[in-house]
Amino acid sequence: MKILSVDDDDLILELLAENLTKLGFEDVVPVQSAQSALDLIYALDGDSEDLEVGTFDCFLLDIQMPGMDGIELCQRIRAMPAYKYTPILMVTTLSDRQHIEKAFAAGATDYITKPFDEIEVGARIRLAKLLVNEQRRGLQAYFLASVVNSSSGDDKTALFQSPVVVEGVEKVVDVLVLENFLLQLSRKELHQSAAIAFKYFAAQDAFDTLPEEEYFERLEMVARVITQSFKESKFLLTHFGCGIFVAVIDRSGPPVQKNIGQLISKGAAKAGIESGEAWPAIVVGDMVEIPISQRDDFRSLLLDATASVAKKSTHLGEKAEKSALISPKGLKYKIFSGS
Amino acid sequence: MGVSEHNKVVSGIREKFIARLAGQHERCQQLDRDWQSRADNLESLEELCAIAHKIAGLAKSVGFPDLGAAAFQADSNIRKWLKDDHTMTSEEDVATAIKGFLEHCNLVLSDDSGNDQG
Repeated sequence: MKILSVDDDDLILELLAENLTKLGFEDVVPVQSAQSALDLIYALDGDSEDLEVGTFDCFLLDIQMPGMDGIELCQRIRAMPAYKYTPILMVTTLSDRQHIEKAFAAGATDYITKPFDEIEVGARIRLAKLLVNEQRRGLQAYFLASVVNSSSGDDKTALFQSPVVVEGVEKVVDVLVLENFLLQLSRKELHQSAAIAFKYFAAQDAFDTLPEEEYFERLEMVARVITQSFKESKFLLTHFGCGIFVAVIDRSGPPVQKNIGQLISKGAAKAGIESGEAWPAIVVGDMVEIPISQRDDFRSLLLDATASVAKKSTHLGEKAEKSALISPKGLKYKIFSGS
Repeated sequence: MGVSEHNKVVSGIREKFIARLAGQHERCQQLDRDWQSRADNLESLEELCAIAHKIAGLAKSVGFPDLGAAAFQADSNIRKWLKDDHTMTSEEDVATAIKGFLEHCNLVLSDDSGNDQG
């Protein structure tokens, strides 16, 4: 595995390389600035948009560096097609929520705080590699289903349920990346977090009847509306599968409007969706928090949020059948929220 | 590479760290004096913060956990102060954290064995 390690401190670079060599990662290339890192990548890989696999298999980036910082470098690397899925681990002394959230939103796979433990760094690199392989497998399954268009019922169900990453929307991350983010938060920061789930109401119908590509375009549209709606808040969003999205919001930031349905309507307008145009209806779940008395179980935070939206969705589905709440097209602009 | 060779390399990094610390300590003392004489001298504080940040990231890994913790505290308090977050950090908190950090630098530099208390 060829690793590019970027830090403005030469001693950190030396120590990291030494520890990684001891753990079996012998090909570590150290550079002391973000610009040098970019220069090296361009020199080795060129700036070809067609390049599918780059020279490096993993990046370790410090955040605070003179000139371009590690978060911008992360964004720049992630934007290169050859490094779309390559693990990027931030290795930094900065442990506050603001930096952690920015790093994950910029495309980081994981976050390690200095002083680092050598064994932990090795384990996290291996985990990041596993995560990336999982993402690739998910995408391969999707493309295979699209191209062959003859996937069995089981394969199709698995594809619908899998947390396929919605790409190209700012602040939307993979489920496991979101878990890595929550793992980095201190107890206090975790208790300042809240989760809200959203469901693309007609997801199952759309998946069953539309070409896969169009279904995933719909998911992207839903993601854009949600991110636009929470633009004023600090948050990360993930697609859980089955058309369900979960946003983790920092409650210590600007207060989240009580009427989230209204917020989503505004978000839809800002996302460029004109009134009357057909777009996916979204069900909004309850905002879920971890009670102070409970242990810091971030998974239950995510699961409680998805359970809330699933329940509402089922309830609304029954109601819709009775009162023809959904237009015959099933796609008319509509927001379902509130309890 | 064997364990002893690895230890030798890490020990070399530790020596370089101590050698660098002497200059950093001297510079931080000067920056602290500059800031104490003029509280709006934020450039001095920014440079001091950057040095503390560097030391915080490495000290523990080369055997100086107490120095690492003191540097982290100084870095963190100065950062909050520079962000104008005076509700969380007072000028006194910043001064105390810098004092503790400089004392720990001194301890490491004055100890021939290069050990801190951690």
